[in-house]
Amino acid sequence: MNTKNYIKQLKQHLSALDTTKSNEIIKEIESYIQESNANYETLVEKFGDPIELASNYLEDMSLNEPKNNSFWKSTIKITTIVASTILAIILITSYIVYEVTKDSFDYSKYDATTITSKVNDLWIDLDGITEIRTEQAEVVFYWGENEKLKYNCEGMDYTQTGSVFTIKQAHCFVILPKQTTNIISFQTDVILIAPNYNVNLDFRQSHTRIAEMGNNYNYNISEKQSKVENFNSKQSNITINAKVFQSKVKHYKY
Amino acid sequence: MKDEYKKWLAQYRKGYIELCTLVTLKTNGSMHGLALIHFFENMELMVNEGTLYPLLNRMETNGWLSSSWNIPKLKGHPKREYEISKKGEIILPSLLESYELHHKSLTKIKESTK
Repeated sequence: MNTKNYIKQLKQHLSALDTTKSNEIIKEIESYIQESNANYETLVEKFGDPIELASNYLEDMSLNEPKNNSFWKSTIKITTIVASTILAIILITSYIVYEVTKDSFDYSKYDATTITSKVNDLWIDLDGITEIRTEQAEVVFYWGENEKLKYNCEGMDYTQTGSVFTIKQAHCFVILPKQTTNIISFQTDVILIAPNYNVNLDFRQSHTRIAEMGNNYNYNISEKQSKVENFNSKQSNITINAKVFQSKVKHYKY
Repeated sequence: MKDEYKKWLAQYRKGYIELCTLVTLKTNGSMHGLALIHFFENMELMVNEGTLYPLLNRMETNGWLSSSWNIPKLKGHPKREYEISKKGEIILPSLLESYELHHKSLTKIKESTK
């Protein structure tokens, strides 16, 4: 038996340690051999046999760091990096989606009078409208004191047929007069800002948000396959009748 | 009986040798394993390699010591030099105080039974 055998056996019995630690120990014992010109027997006399020495190292190491520590550390590190990256992507995507889909401003900060100053493009008046139909559109409704309906639209198609005003694939602000009582929407994002008169809603596959602005309403909502937030019906001379199908109805929040 | 004594001695000596190592390295600066063994021999503290080397390893893992390889420029072989770390310097006074308190307590206990 020679010192190489000792080192070889020691290496084998230190295999429970991580490689860096084990290599450092072996290198140090080899340094000792060179320094003291030790042979196998001297090593056994001074250090004990390789198994004994290895167990001394392992006994001490077990108090501090188990072998798999580095494995777990790197696993935890990788998992943390991956999780952080996924979380960052989700957050960035959510932020982009939020920025793209959020309202261009807080519609509830305006009323029928002030919205015309905020959106100061051309407003058009329509007479004798009792019903509005919307399809694949985004429409914000206000209620005004005038006899005429006022609207401001950007988009594809908005037409009057008799007493019905139809909006298709457009983004519109509409100020309703008292006599416009019916709103029929299909696949439309509808926002109602403080309804001032009775209104009948018939919404299909639409997303509706209502800003009560502290007013009391008498709600009469019938829904099918829809998600409707809790709207407290209070004694009021304004009634909101809503028939919703495959739609969402909730409170307006900017 | 002999085995029990050996076990007790091994346990007792580990902490004691750690304390002596910290004091030695604090006083003398960096040293390698064999130099420490020779130094302890001169101080009449007999420590064998099989005890000291794993202890040095453990103390480094604890953060009480740091080590580096001293590679001679012309002749000789690399040696792993140990020195007391900042953490070791911070903990040393507490270890010494504990040791001295225990030593005093033992003296008192012995005296009280006379």
